[in-house]
Amino acid sequence: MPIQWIKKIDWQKVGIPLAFFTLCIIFSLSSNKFLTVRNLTNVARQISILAFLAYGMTFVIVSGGIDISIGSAVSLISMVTGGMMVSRGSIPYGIVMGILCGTLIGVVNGLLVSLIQLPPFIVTMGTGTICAGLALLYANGMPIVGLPQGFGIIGSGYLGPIPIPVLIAFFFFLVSAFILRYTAYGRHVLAIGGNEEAVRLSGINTKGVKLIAYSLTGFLTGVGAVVLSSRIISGYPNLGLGM
Amino acid sequence: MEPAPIIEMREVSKHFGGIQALRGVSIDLHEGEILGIVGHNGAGKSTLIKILSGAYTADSGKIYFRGQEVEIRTPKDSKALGIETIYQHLALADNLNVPANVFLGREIKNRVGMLNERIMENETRQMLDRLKLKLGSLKVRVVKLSGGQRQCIAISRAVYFNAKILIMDEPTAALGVQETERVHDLMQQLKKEGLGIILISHDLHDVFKLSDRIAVMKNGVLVGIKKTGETTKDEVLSMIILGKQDGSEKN
Repeated sequence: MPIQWIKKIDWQKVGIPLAFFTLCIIFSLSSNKFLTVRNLTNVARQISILAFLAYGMTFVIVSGGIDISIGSAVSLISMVTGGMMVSRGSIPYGIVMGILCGTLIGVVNGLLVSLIQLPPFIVTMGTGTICAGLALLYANGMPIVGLPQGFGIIGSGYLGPIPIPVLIAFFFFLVSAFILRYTAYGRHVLAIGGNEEAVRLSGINTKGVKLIAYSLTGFLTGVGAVVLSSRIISGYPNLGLGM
Repeated sequence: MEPAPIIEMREVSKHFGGIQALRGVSIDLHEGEILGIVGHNGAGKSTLIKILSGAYTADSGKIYFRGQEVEIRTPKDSKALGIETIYQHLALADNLNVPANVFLGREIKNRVGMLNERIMENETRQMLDRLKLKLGSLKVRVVKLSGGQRQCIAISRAVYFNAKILIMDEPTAALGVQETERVHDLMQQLKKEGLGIILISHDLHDVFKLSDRIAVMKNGVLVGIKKTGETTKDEVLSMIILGKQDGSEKN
């Protein structure tokens, strides 16, 4: 009898939240510090950056592609953000240049995948490697320090009880979910993942759709890298290692 | 005096790498006419109509719409001329639901730019009812539907957008007897309304029942076109197999 019930569950939808709650239960049982406000806020802050990188990636993955350049892109964007911020002494300038850098990487990925039609895995592996190398070349492998202290508020600050990165992540969550669910563009991205040829035959510019998807990923990677750099108030050439 | 054709393809050729799929094919279609295209697999039938639908571009040759030369480079160009195509493999996005597929690329949006799912669902439901095609809930992903149901969706999509020319590549291949009858009735109805219809089918019986003229293709070449009333199934069959006509003049 229990087996019937198990079969009716849509594990695709239920699986991950279930795993999440199970982990929470395990952690709160094994340490009395887990369920504290301080800890949960900390975890939320750290996870939120990964979260909006994931929102950007969602567009690419849902369209049937992949972007493995994100980690290395974060490193390069961090260096660009730090370097530009120091050279002009301006926080906004550094932030804008960083996000621009991320978007540019996304556009390059998108062009190679959609126009030249190279496999996304190969393309992003290549651009990732290039970004990692450029990040190290930027300042001979040294981190960039001496950034204005005010920059740190983005990554480490609070708005009331909520860490700022969590707010940023929530904002992009709403935007990404809205695009995917309620706009024609979002629907096209989803459809390409199901049957790209069918979408092309429907008169949709599939190349444009994919280009925008990768560019969005690049943009959000830029934001993520800026927030991460803000937490350490420096440009760090290995910031994205392990992402 | 026969009216001018709505679509004319002249000396159209297409190759894929080393394979010559179409060799100088010239064909035309009139309003209010059903043109059947028959031939073996690999004869070039699907390739020919895909050039009209914008899925492929011809290497050489010209296309005329109502006497004016036109260029069909993309599926959008084709739809802009009023050509709607039902592909052999249906061209449906598996992970989207029924209304999403019907309106793919032509979504109805509200003033803010958001998808208006309610209207799209209603319109789809109305179209399916009008065509008397049975479908349960429209909110299912089409991958879960049967071949016949998927074909109904593809047909609804083509008919909804007021085609002037309808291309149907094996449109009843997955349909049951009753549904096939309904599609045939629909085709006759659309023909009366003045549409030009190109029908690709393996079923000679259907082709003879519905078409006004029959074009036979083999190995990328147009073997000949016959008026349905002036030929027999045997003659058409021999044209398909032998790749040539028995001395009669090409139309």
